Amino acid sequence: MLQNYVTVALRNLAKHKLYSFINIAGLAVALASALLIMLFVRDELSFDKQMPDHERLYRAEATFAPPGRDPLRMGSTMFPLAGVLKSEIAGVEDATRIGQQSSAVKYGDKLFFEEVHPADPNFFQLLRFPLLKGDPATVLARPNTLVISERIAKKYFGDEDPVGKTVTLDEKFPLEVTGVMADVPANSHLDIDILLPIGSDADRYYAHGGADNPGAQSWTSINHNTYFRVAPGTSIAAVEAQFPAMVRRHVDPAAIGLPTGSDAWDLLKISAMPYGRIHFSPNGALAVASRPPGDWATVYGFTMIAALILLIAAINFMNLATARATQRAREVAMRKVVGARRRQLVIQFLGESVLIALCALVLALALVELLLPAFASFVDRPITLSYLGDWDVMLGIVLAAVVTGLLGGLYPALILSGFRPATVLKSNRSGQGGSGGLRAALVIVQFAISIGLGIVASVVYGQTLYARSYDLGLHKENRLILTGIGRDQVTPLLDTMRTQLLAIPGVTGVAGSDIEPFSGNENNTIMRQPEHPDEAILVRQLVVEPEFFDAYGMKIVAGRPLSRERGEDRSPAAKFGDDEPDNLSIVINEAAARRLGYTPAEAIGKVLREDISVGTNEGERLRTRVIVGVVQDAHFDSLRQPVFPTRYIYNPHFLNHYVVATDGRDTPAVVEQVRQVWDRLVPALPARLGFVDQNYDALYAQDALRGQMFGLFSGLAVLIACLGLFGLAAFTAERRTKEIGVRKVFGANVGNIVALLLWQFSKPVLIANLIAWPVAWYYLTGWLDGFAYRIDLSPLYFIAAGLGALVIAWLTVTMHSLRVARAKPVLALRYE
Amino acid sequence: MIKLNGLTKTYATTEVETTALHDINLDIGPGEFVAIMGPSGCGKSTLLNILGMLDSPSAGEYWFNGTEVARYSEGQLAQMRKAGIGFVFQSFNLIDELTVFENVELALLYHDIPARDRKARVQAALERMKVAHRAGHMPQQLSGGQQQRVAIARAVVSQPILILADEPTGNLDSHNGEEVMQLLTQLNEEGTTIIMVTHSHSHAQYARRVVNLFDGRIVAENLRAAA
Repeated sequence: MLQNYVTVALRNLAKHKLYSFINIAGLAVALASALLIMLFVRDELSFDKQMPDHERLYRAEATFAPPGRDPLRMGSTMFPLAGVLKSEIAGVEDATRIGQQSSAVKYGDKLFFEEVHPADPNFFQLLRFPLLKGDPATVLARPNTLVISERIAKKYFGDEDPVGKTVTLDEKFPLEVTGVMADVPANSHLDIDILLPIGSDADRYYAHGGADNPGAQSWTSINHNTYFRVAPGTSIAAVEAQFPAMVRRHVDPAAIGLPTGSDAWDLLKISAMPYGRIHFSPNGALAVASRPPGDWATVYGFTMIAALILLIAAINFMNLATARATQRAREVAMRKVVGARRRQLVIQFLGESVLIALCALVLALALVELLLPAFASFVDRPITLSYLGDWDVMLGIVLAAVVTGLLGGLYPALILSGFRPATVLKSNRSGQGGSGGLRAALVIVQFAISIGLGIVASVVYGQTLYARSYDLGLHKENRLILTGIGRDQVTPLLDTMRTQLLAIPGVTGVAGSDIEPFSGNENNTIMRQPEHPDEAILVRQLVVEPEFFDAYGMKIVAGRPLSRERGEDRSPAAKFGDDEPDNLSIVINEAAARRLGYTPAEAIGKVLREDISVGTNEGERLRTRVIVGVVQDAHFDSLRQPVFPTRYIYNPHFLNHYVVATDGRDTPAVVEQVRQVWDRLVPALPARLGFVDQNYDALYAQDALRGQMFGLFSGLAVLIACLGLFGLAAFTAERRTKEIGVRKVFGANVGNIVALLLWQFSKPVLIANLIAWPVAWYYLTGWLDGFAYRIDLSPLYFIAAGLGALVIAWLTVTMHSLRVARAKPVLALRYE
Repeated sequence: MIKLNGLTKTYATTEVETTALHDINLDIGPGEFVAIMGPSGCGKSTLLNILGMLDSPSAGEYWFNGTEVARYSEGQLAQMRKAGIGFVFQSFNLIDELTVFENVELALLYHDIPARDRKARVQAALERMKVAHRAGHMPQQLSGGQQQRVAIARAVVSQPILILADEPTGNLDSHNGEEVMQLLTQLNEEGTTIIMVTHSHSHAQYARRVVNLFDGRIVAENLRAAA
């Protein structure tokens, strides 16, 4: 019996090669896509779940809602928070902090810039990353010690045992290696290789000035991540309920420029993010020591695409099987005549369908083996698949295959087995009228999905292109960034360095600033107009050299740029919190002028007051500033954000980066000479060079990646849908052979027949458009609203996707149509 | 009207070549009613298909109304067919998905006829075949005799000069068969040339001339007096 089933099944596969190919190849591609997406999604979901006790661990997160701008969501928090959590919040067992700074790390002749992380001594007791050497309780107990990852140990020490060795940070601070930790897994939100205890001499944030460092008390200076563990059985809601009172106790609204009597909780909210969900925190993008966060939209989006691709393949399965029912009708009838019961037939057909699905699964696994390395490097995640280790994913995909097989086989199994043998044998017809409607409906579903995905993919691509080519108001091409000019050993050399850099052929300008564009960093200050003393205006602040605007090609739209020659243009403050005189010159951008209610021309000469004590917890210290120029708006962030009102001030003591503008003719040569200038002047430190346009592209790397993945899988969905249509067209052409014959006998020519068939397949595509358009429109409107600068949702995207689908459908069925239409009518009628 | 000179049709497969028609010479004048008879496989249907330009001969000449069409392309044949030939089949060949009216209309769809005239002519043809009351039904809802009357309506609606009928009564009971024969006779009396393939000697009686085929050759031709 079984042998007979298998024989028939295999002969059917072999006989109907096109049909078998479409079913198996289509489903294999769909299963392979689904498996790749599942691996990607599982990797996203696995973040931080490996941390022991993660159910009791939380990251404190801060959301600032300054009046006049969107809330600023941060995964990092203020320095004092950890201590306050421990001492004031019931239910918190322990808390720990970790910060981040770039330091030159030297051992022997090895010298590199590394990201190093000052952390509290209890760090490894809360976040139990495994230590290969050292005791979690004591490894960071003494200041001026260092814990390094295996990777860093290998890089600096080779096969030597690093423990007990001394490493020099930033040329002057010796630190003793006390521990080696296993490399942090790729699915940890923390990305850390080198840790030193907070308060070490090399800890720039805390050690400069020790406990007197204003940052150590400030609640508005955000530089560390704070993690805390709650006692077993503690409800996190009960912990969070204590946060508003805590913030009100520690934050004085007046001290940070808000009107007296306002609620500090309105300005600053602290929340607790469960450790296992940190990767998806909406605050994740602004956190130190962290990998780029994921987002739920991506996870849901791709899960949805995987499901849709499987659905399309299952529909192919079902459609082609019902379509072929006619051809199997005689077999079914004969089996019934010789005594088969309906149940046996149902089992036979379901079994056959599942067998095909399993063939497809084997092929899919081979495809995944082949594509996985490329896919992993494409999504930039170390994704692997082991059949036994990943039993959950494997089980999922086998289930998906079996369910697709069952779904695909169910309808034909029930219909075929229900044929009345007598009718079938007599008329050689199987009464297929009803399932034709179902097939058309399923084709509509497939095309609605394909068209919808096509529209979404093209709009996402359009927005990415738009962002790439958008006029940012500053030149980002051929702008080299030299980082580290604020270091103690570099600042005295800046005049010489400037002169030497400008002497390099091809260099057109050099200018320093505290923050480089597109780095994600920002500083803000609060300004007031004398006529509205109660209104605090939040303004982005940049410290620049006067040549900054020229170097970035930003035009002065009114007034004048800052000048080195004028004393009133230069701030004398040498460090954070130092006093400044009244009437310092500032340049503002057009957005700031608008915010203040001036045209650029009106703004010139206007006086503003700025509280220079903001962030120090000292009393208010107001100084006046005079607007001497208005510069055009320039984007320093992703286009998801608008241009913020910004003020530029000149202060030679706060510069961190030089931008070196070049004419772009021989960039490698310029880079090499910039490096030589640095190495000559600062031989102790390696040069750190970057490019502004690369920073900008990095902002969109995630978007671009998702866009490409989206496009790729949408393309696959369309391909699989077309495969199905191709098969269906072959079937239809065959089924309508008699009709076409009759039509030809009565005068229809090839053109008439082709038009007839094309129209038959155009109808479902056209109806599919009606379904796909509103859904895609609804989704995309929401998505585009996330961008401050966005393309319009032009009808062209919709029409193009619809036309594209129509043309693809036509191309798919034209071949069959032509073949049938060209045949001599007598051939068509002979088989009747 | 029709003149066949040395008409031959062979079918070639990879292994054997079968001759379906062998050196057929036949003259059929306008207004004739010819029955073609012979055992199964003698080439009757092949001859009819070639006469109807549904198939082309392998050799020989086929003159239709003074034009030699044996070497015509499928497209040219379609034009000729459209202009002058109506078909009636043993298995009716009605399209299941179309109503009775639409099935008949099909024969005019590919002619340049304004929709209103077309509808009127279809209505007239259906009335003439006494199936007008069934215009909105699907073919499966009709009896065999009704289906064949619809098929004849479809054959005559384009006012052809020649009607080819391939065993038009083969699937009908004797009563319905007689009725169909009377309809064909009536059409013939109105001037339409009719060529009919049949197995039935009694139905062959309706024709004024009977051509007997055997193994692809004409073995006898009998003229009979008008009934």
